[in-house]
Amino acid sequence: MSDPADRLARALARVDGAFEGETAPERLLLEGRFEEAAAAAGNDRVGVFVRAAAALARGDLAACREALAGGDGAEAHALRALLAAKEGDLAAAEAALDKAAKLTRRAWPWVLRCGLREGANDFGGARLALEEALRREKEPWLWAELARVEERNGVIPRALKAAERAIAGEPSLPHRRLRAHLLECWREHDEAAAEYARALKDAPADPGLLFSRSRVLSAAGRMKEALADARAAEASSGGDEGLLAWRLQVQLLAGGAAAATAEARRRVKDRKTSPDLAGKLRFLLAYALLRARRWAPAAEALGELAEGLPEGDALARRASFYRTVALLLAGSKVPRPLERLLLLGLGVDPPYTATAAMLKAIVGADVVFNNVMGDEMFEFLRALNPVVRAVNYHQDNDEGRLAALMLKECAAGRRAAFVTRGNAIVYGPLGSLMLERAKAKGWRWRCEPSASSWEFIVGRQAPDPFAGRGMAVLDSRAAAAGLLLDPGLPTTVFFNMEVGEDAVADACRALAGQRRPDAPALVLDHVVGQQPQRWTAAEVESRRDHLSVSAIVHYPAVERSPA
Amino acid sequence: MSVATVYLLGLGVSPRDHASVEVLQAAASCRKVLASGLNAQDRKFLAAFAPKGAVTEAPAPAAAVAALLAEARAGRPAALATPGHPFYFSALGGAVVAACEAAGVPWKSFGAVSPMGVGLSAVGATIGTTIHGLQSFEHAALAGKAVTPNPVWPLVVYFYEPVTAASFAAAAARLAGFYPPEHLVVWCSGSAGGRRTTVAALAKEGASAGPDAVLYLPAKAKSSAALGRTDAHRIEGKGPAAPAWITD
Repeated sequence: MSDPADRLARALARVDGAFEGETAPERLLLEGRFEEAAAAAGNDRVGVFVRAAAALARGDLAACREALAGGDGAEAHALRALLAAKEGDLAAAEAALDKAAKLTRRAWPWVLRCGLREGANDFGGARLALEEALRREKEPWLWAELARVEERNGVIPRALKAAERAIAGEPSLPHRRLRAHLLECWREHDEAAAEYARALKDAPADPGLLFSRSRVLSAAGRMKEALADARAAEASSGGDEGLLAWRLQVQLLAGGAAAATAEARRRVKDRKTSPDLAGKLRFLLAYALLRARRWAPAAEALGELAEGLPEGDALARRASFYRTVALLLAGSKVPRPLERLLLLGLGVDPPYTATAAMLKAIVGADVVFNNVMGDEMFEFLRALNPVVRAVNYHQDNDEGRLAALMLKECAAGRRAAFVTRGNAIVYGPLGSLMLERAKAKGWRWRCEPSASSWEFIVGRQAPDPFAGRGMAVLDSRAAAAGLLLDPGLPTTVFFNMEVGEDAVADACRALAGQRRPDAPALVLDHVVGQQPQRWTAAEVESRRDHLSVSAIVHYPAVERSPA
Repeated sequence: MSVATVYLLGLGVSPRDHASVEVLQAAASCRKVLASGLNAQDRKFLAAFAPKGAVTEAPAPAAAVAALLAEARAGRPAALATPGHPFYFSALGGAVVAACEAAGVPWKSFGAVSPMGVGLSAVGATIGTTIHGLQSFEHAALAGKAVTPNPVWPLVVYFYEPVTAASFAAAAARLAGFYPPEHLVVWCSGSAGGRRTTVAALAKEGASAGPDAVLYLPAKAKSSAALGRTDAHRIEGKGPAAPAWITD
């Protein structure tokens, strides 16, 4: 670890872990003490690098440029790349990194390239850069970086494999925490709890780890264990108010509502309670009203809470959200659904994109199966329905098992709601299978329409002047086969990269062929909620190796439609 | 004083069912919400979330744009609310965004349930599993030949405005140029939701259509041979038959 650029790369890439053997100026640099680092740096190669890096880090581009004058080593080119990136010239940055990469066989120029591409929202390109870095060095921290980038690409199975390689090389706390986090994202809550348990062997009283394990245990429905961890986290934190509020929330969900609300009320009245904690506890009390289906009082309490908090405050936003939920349910009688199977895709950004009809269906269901990651979703669903179970659908031939699990409830005459992201029957083989089985059984079913990918894209971007004509969606496999749609409609194309390189290229060419090569294409290469990259129709073909396995490309309507 | 945001709020095809929590939250933050195309019941529904007196009928487009910008410049968030989504409900949404961008006023919009989503959900056709393409046409664009259907894919037609016998018949006539008379049509929303009819009978059915009318036509031809995938799914209900490869 003698290369300062290597360390800077790691610092820039936010890699956890120790940096051994730094000289003092470099340590200061890594600690963000840029002025002190520059002052302490000598005139040798390392000193020049530290001064330039410090200038760059504090935003003094002129000083950075001056420090770099005449430098022609790999580090100098790397810093030139960072300088160019700061000035918005990504092509120059990539070119400088090409030079750096030729001067060293080390991995770090490719890690910097990964960081630059991430900064430009090119996560597919970031992945390609890290793969090259790993061809040069198979270091555990590079695997951890790859895991992080794959997570941003939305490809959790690959991220998990990379995290496992990181642990195999270095079974450290950060790597275990990373894998546990990914397992949580993948809704493998039991396995995430097990990984947190392994991490806790290294740091048994770490309140953050205890809280994280409590959260995944709660998601797994293991409420007693979740409460035990919540208590331990609170105790080891020395009175952290957030952890106290979490413990009370778990207590409320674990069957201790009376005790939890009594304690919350007592603490709210206590003058020693901080305003921050009092707000959290007032939210908890309103949440208890939601759980009791007292929608109108809950809406009132949440409205008062939100109004008393500063605009933009996280708790104010949470209270405002639940106030709207409560108002929607208070406004009319919530009928018991007539259907046995309820397919509820809560849209692109659940729970915020849930519709009025979906809320009522969740309230009316006998059992709710949740396929959306995150504690926020469990908090939301458990506010509306006491029976919420986790399902973790991965599209790896697990449709049959999960459909049987959920449809068993329908067979017993209960109303089962399957809650997932997006639309339950758009690229959702599980929803589709359950629907077909329900139809075959003659059961009543309902699939609530949702604000899914194409609606989200059309709605969030600048208005398409021809959107008034309608819209279209297409699978890239269909485009590859020449089964196209009128390009006079704004068209959202779901790419499938598993069909092979030639078929993907055929699809890109066919879609570009309907438009001009320089026609715009909005590329959502990792998650639909991202700010799209703006490519041309021709670039979708030439840069297709940057697309993730489930990329979505939106082609705005062309003015003239074929007759 | 800082300039506030202008929101463009789409309440979906059937606003009282399809309005999303985030859209209603945005409405709650505005003291001026201009409702365009919403009926009295939908306006009342929306008003329950917004501050008292905030929801009013949108004036003529130029006045609506001016009112929204004036509110935002005064530091107060304001909103335009429509059925569907403002960007495809009418030209007003685009005009508001253009004016905001010209004036440096921030704007924000959200996704909203579209007729396409309503059509899929009503018949239980599953994109990516049983069908691999779907097209959705505003009735006048279809009738006016601004766009051309490809009958190899299912098709959705929607209205978003009071339907007249003439406008309905015009859309039906265009469809008749692409589909055989006996081809299945499913009504997807409103009081006629779930009813099945044919392309030939469609022209006479305009009287059943409300402004949230959405029609779904399954594909005329089977695409699975070209894709190596299945087109098989069921369209439930009594009435005209679905195409042979769709399990009826």
